[in-house]
Amino acid sequence: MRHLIFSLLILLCLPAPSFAQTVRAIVDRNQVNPGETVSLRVVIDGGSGQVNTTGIKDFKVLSQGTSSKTQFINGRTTRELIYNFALIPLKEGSLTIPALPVEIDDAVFYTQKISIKVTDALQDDTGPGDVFVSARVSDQQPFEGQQIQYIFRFHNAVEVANAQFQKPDFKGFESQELKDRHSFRNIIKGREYVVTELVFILIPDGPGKKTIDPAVLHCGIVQTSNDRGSPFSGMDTFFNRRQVRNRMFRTTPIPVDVRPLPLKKDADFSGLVGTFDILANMDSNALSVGDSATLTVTVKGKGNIRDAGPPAILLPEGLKTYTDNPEEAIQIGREGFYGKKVFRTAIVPVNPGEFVIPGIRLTYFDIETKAYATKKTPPFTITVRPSTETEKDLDVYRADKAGPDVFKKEVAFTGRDILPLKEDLRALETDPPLTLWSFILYLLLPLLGYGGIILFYRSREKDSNPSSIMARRAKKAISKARKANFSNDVSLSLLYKALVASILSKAGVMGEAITWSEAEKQLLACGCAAETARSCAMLLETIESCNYSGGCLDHRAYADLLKKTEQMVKELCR
Amino acid sequence: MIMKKPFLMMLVLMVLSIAPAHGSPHARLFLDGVAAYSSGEYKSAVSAFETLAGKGVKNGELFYNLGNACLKDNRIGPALLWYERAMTLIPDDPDLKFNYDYALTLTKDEKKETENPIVRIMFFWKYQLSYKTIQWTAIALNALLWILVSVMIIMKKRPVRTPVLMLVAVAVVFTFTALYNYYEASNTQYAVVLPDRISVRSGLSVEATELFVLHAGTKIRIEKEHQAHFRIRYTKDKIGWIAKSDVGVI
Repeated sequence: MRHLIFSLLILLCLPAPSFAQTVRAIVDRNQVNPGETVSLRVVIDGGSGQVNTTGIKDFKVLSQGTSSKTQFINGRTTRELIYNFALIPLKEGSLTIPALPVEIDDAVFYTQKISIKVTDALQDDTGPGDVFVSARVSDQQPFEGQQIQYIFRFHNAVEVANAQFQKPDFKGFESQELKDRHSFRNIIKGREYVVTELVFILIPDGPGKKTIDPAVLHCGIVQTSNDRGSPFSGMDTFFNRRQVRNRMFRTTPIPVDVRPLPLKKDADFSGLVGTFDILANMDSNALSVGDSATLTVTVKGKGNIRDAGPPAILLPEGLKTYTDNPEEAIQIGREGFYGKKVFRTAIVPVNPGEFVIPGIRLTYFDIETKAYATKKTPPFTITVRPSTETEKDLDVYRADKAGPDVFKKEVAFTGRDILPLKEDLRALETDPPLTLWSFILYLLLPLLGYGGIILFYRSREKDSNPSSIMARRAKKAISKARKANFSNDVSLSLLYKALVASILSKAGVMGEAITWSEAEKQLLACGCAAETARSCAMLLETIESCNYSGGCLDHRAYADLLKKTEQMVKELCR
Repeated sequence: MIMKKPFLMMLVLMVLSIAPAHGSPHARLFLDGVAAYSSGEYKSAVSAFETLAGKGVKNGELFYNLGNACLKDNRIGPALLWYERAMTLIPDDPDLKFNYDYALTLTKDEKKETENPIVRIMFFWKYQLSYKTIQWTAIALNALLWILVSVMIIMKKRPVRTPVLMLVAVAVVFTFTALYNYYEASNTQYAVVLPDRISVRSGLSVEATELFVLHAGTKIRIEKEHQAHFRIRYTKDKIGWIAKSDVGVI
């Protein structure tokens, strides 16, 4: 009995393995956008099994392997086997991950059913979450021509990556983005956000109700290790591995009601909307007939200054005017466009007298008072003396070019399309590049030509050389001598001719005859060995003697003479 | 009168023989394609031009037209493929450059430079001139060089050093560029993604891990081929396997 109790106690002390087997399915989120993936984990507690995902019809299933986890807690061992899947929604709407059968040791267990909503309704600016966007305009009821600001803000309280901004179309507005993007920190409901601000200056094209479409921001939200259930997630930072979840954020559309300008416009309304001023200046009030003075009118302010045209200048008769191109110094800032436009007019009096140029008026619509306002310059009086010169054609004087650099507007695309087809039938010609061997052949052809030319040229040079000519004669004569009848006088002449030609070839001179003593001298002079020169001279003397003595040579003697002559010719013509 | 008839017949036959043909089948097909494009039937235009290309017509302007037709038919991948093919034949065509740049703005993936930009600047002629132009320039410079040297030797004049050396240098540069082009054409292949979206995986099966995603019109380099798959490289660190049917080889 004691043994039994003791055994039981030992068993109880041993860590009891958990035999409870359960299966569960876990997703990382229940709502996704089209194109995003859902992470599904099927966790099998206490055993190993096979998960059957064929029942999932609303998603494309991508297996991402398995992992396992074993824990010892309070003497209990628990073991989990986790199947990881990435699910890609195949359609929008309310989708279902059905209960998945898991086969464990011939038994089948089922996970719970999970609903996933796939919708295009993006996270909008109802925030705040980790990341949200917002947009507003400075005035939702501007006047026609009034510039307003469209301010887009991107708030992020966590790290983001690859942010891409898609601005709205701004239909019905002329838009210009301020190049400087502003970033700052802001605390909202206790959370600190980094705020990136983009500002656009908008000017409505005309009155009416308009809607500014949503701005869209794509970005990846860097997931921290707390987001993941893997036991090795802490090592991700060490190995610099980060998971990024791509998200898209969209602002709500903004209605803008553009009010028309009040009906009772001034007759000389300039079309300017904003706050403006006008200045005028004459560089000279006392002139002679034919002289010119420059009237400079400056319109400055903030608003649609770019649309400012030359103000009307009412000139009395007797004055000619020549208008110069206006100069602009316009910038864009957070409040919109501001700057000035300068209009210069050359005034040339044609008659003497006193002339009064009335004040120049500028009527604009003042945004601040919401009424038309008129500014006026003081009048100018010009005194014109008669000209001292005889009447002649007046030279035209252009106003001086002075002033700051002109602000040029960048030419931007107003539409995009591709250039048209090539309709010429040349498009049907096939003329492919050369093959490698054809290319090498064409490269080598000039080289071969060069080689041929050089060879030809050199052979011609050789042919005209006295040494070559005489050597050829010697060889020709000896060849004839070989064929000739030994008892024939011609054969001795040929031997003589061959030997003389070879001696002269060695000496490099042309000639027909030479004495044996001269031959020896010539050969010694051109560096021939003394013995060879002497032998050659002796041979020549012998041939001469036989030839001129008329003595008959026997066959053997002629053959010997021929052989010696051949050897000598060969040596000298080498 | 009797003599006139045969003479007239001969005259008519002569005129007919030199009269221009109404157009070869290729020309008719091409013009059909142009007409289809003009009337907005882009699919028909693509079909006509593709038939011509399939019959062996290798012409940069035809490929440009194919790119245009595909682009108008909202098929960015094939459009960029045909533009890339046209670029190998007529790289200095301004219309092609304009349309190619425009098509690139429609792709979703950020264009990554596959070549060092300094190399592109230093060897600018390789990228500005077509393969054929470089080949014939090399041949012409070589011929000129050897003719010049031959003439100088025949006229027994010492070759003037600087101009000949410069000619040698330019001839060598173009020759080596042409030879490098041959090497590159046989050893390096590029392709363009055709479908709207493809998954680049770690292995050959559909179950392999998706490493990254590419979209239509993205240009990639083919590193290896295995059965029905290519191993491709997008950037230095983005390598993976795709099905051959997902890309068009340039």
